[in-house]
Amino acid sequence: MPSGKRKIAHLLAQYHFNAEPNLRAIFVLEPLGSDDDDEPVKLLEVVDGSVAKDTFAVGFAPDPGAGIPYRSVVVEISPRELPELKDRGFLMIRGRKWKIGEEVVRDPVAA
Amino acid sequence: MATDAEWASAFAAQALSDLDAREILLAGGADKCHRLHFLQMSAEKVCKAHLMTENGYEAVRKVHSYVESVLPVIARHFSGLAQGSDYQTWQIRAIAKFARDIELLAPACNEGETRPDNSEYPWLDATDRVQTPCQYKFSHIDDGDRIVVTIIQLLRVAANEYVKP
Repeated sequence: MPSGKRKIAHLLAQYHFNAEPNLRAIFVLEPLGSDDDDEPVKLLEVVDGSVAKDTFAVGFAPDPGAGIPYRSVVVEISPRELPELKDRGFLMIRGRKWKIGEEVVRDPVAA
Repeated sequence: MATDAEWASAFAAQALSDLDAREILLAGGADKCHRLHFLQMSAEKVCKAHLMTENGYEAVRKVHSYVESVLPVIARHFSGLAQGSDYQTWQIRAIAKFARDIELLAPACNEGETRPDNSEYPWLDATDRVQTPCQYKFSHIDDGDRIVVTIIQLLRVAANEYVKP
């Protein structure tokens, strides 16, 4: 059972799963920075039909009311981009190296 | 030196002002191109605000073509946080479709010159006739559609996230 920041990452992932049926997979991007409140929760989202251009990170402010007390970041890719990215193991956003971490499984009753 | 967060806040504030201007134009009976123009500009600035915090002002400021790819991500996030109460799945689909139409309204986004129609400058159509935005019908976009109300609500919520008092 995840706890702390990882638990928040899982909660946010389930929120996004619930909103988007075409969301095929979500991976947590590391480091999560469990001791650093300024480090955002980061998710790599694989979406069928994605038209994402380049690899850009979309940032969101904290939303404590929804149970998300940290900044969050979503990087969206299409399924065809996933194998190469998984082989590489990480992505670079503005000089920061984010490792592809655990996959969050869709839970229909979680969020 | 201004921070990326300050830039994001400024873009978000301007996006809200663009939406307010659209309402004024609507009430004043302005041509459709102007209503669409302010909707496009607002959407572009909201998307840029959400890109700037993580990717930096310099990487994002000159780019016009991110509404189609970023607005659906923003819709998914806020729909998820609302836990399905505000946006239905069909609305997420419709927002994604509309995001593409909105992006193409920008003169800089012409799909390799195959889509010169835009809300700002006259263009030459496929039959070599000059088309003028204020006289063009933009019949592929119904800005009275219910989904436009949803998009405007989404843009306001997303912009407010970054607007500093």
